[in-house]
Amino acid sequence: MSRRTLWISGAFAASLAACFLGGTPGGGDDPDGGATADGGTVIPFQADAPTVYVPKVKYILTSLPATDAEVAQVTSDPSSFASLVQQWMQLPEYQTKMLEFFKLAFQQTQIGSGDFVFQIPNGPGGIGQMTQVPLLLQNVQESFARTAYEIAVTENKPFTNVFTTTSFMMTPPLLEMYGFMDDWQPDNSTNYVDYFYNANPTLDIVLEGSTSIPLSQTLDPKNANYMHWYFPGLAGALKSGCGGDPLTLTAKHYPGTSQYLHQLLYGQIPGFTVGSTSCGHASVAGASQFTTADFSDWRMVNIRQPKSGEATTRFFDVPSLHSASEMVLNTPRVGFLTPAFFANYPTNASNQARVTTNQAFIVATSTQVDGSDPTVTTSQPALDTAHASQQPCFGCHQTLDPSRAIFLSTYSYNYGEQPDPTLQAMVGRFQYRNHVQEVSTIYDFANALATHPLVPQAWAEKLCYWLNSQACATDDPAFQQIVADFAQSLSWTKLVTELVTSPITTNASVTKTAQEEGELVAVSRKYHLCTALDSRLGLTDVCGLDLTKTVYSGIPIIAPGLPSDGYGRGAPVPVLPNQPSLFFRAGLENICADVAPTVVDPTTPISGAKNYSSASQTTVNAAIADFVDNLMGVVPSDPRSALLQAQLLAHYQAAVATSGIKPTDALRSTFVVACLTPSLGSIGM
Amino acid sequence: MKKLARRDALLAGLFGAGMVGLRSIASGLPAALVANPRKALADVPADGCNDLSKAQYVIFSTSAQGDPINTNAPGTYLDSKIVHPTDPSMAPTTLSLANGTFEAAAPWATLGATLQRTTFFHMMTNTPIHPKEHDVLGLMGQATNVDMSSEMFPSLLAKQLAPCLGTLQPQPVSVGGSPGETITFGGAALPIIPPTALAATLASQQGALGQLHTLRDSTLDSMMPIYKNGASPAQKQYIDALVTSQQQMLGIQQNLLTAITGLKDNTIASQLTAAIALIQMKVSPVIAIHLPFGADNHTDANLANETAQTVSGLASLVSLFQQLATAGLQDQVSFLSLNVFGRTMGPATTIGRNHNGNHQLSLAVGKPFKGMVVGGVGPVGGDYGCTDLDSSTGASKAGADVKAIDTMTSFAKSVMTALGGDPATIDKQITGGSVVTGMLA
Repeated sequence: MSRRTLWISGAFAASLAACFLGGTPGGGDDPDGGATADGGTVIPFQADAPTVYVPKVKYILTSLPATDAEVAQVTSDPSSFASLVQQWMQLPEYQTKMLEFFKLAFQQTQIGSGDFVFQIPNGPGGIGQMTQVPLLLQNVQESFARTAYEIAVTENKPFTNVFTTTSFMMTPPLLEMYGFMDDWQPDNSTNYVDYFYNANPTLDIVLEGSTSIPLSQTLDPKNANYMHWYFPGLAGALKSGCGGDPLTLTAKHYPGTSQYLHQLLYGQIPGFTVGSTSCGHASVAGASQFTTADFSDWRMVNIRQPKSGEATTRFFDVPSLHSASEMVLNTPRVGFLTPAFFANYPTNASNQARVTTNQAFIVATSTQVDGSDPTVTTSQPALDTAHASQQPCFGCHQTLDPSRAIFLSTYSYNYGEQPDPTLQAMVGRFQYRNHVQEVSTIYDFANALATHPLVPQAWAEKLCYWLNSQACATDDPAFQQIVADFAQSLSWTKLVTELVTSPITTNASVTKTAQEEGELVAVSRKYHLCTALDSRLGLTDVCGLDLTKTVYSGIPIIAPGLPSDGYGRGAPVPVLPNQPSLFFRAGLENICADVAPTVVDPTTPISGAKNYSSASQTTVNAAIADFVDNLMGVVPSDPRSALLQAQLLAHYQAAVATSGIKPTDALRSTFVVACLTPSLGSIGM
Repeated sequence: MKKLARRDALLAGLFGAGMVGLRSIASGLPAALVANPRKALADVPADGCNDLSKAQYVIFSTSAQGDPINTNAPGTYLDSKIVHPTDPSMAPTTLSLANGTFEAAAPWATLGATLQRTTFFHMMTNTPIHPKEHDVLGLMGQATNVDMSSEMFPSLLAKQLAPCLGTLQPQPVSVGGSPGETITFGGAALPIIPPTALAATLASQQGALGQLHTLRDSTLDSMMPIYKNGASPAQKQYIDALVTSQQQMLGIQQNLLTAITGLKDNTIASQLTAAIALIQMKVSPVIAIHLPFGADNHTDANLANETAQTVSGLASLVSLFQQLATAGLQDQVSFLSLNVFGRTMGPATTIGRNHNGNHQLSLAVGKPFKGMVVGGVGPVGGDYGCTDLDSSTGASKAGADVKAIDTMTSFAKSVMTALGGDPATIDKQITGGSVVTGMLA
């Protein structure tokens, strides 16, 4: 089977035991995974020159164009490519690109606010409906990628530290959310325990719209104004019959005191009822305790559980959150097992954290429980005998059930603290793919993942998909050497450097991967394309991917339809649309046309952005030269450069000669042509 | 209008207006297709379409969540131990179908006259595992192209129908769903285009940039040989695909975009609107959506969510058929569903339902299908599963010629046959199963 279809076969891996995730056994699974050989032919290999692979690698790592000097350097001394790559890895654009990789590889994305309804039950839509929730949600999805980057790249610590870290990159609002979730504990059903209410059962919350109360008084339990929150704009936001200013929210009013605090911190009057009138849930501009900038205020924060008698962090103490370097929470937080990861994979009494465990295996080892595990188990603690009673099921459950036990003893089915003493006492064992380790805490489980022998190959392979849009052949000696080096060094930077300079990526010479997989030129998927437009044109988030940035074009409407990287439940490899389609071609043209007025004779030039002028033939020539060198990334020494420039110039001349077309329009159209070329729209041209 | 630049004039002289020859060289496509892709595709049936009279566009719904669409449909009320929601909106209602009267939850009756062309196909997907969505769409490895390469069922349908319908592209288009429901075509994952992005994606430029559109295409065509000269086979393959997509784009009927302009969300209503518009624009023969019918309802007290989404799901279907009728497409579009699995139905399911690899219900709705129940439900493995069925009548019958394990492939074969596929080709594409002739209108 070609590895081009490996992701499918991974998802198809039919030897997953039929009863793996609960429900009734289906039986009769095809041991070959349901997918036959795809019959596709491998594209004949042809070595790529530095004019191709130097721009390719720089595109992937930074989205910037390669320079003539860089191509010349590698052409004259191919061995210098690694040092060049390491220079690129110092650029801020590299961080931008790597964060996106980590977000996907650690499966922290593809979630919305509604995906938190299990972790935050009985609230208004889970995480909330406040106007700043999209920003908070973005923080949730970014946090662990930033954590991984900080540990593995900035601090250059062993990559596996990322799996076991209890320190996370967080913003003040994210600290609030983690703290709130710790005070609002979901049980194994659909209920919650409100720790703050339990500690303060008679404490009302008062919103003051006209009297400015210092936050220091609001947060001081000894002050008369304790829990009296200044809420400007209160009176105008209340419906008739819903009370006035000040507004008292009675303790233990539905949904609960912690929920009240969570919502009002973001400037929303919490929901409550007066008689039969539904009140609240109105967001008030200026009433939030967080500014937009707070959602970009990242720092490493260590999360630990309280010592005996120690209080947990007050999630509503916003000033303290701004300076905190530590949080004390009851709920253990470790590695990529974040609220974002859990939001992707809800579990329940039937599933019993098997999906959580399997997805953790996929993230860490790029393998899943599929019946092919060669581990010889001597015992199966925490085995679900009801599920595993049949032999086909036992093959998976003998490793999955013991490994998932630690999730059940640690977390409720909704990922709060486990309240059930029986489940708390459950003892299992990590035993997966020949790695057996006793675990008594979720931290031990994270350590077992980190020390799993499959981790180096798994992460080298994930990187292969990101770099080349297809797998590396695991029997390729070049790949095996890279994996061996990574296993020894655990240096992420070294792994990236080795893999991007390997002929596996450059196609400078034939490899076993090339023989088995062929070379693939893939469409520039959403994040690559959008960051290329940003970095090459001096724009900021032209696709609207970062909600903390101002939207200034119509591209964010189109961008969600661009081919993008993704992951699927139970799929060990990513989902990567690689082929250009009419939607890609049409969408790209409209994106390019949307950008054109911003950078070609702009009415209001953007500081730091390109400003191409049609004022004279000289400026037009300069613009076209930059289109080819910079936007398209075809270096001047590339034989295609002059020919492409000539075509663009011919286009400009033909356009400007067209009735009714002004030079500005002609140059914008020329820009669109350049933007549509496969140099920008693909990677590896 | 001023004269063209010398180079363009030279190229035009060499290859004629529109540079058809050059574009054909660059793309490797037949010149006729480059010159007029829609007409050229319309010409294809002589070679690739088996039966134009039976070809239909398909709206294909799939769910990796394994929704309980199977639990309250006709055929599930014959065993009194099967649990149904007790909400009055789901009260048992009698439906008169071609092969008898059946009870079903009340929302199914809202299909009205459409019931007479709705086949309720009881089947098993043979897996209770979410991640096997892709396997199920590949008919658990039993769907292949004629060259034996693996393929997904909706893509096999698309390949069968595209030559008949003359669509801009043969690949299905997904306008809903999650990455776990990604459709592949020839092994390549297809992107999911959300309805909110469709109009802005497909709209052609207006004003000066719109005026220069043809010139831009010509310039791009002129650039392709530069890229191809000395290019690696992989680069050439990409360029060919890009040129093809550019030609396909030319066929977009801009006047039909108004229906999807202004879609504000990606709800099922918007997905249906987008699907109809894409069909009217002849973009693709198969449009994939995600129609919720209760989702992954392990925890569903009183089956309330199942009730709500069954009601809303049927309302969406009713709306779809009304919109198709309004557009005059009611006899040209079929609706199909195939989910990763169904849900359990036994007595222990009042607080939610588990995965059921032994039973799933697929719908086939449209002119080519009879209003009937195919197959049925019986006790299996402590819950319920689908039964064997008779391929000539569709009747549930233990020991009949279509075994339960072959029901999914039989559904696929029956659908492809109903939509005009060549029987011999279908037999090569789908191993196992039989055509249920009784469901063909």
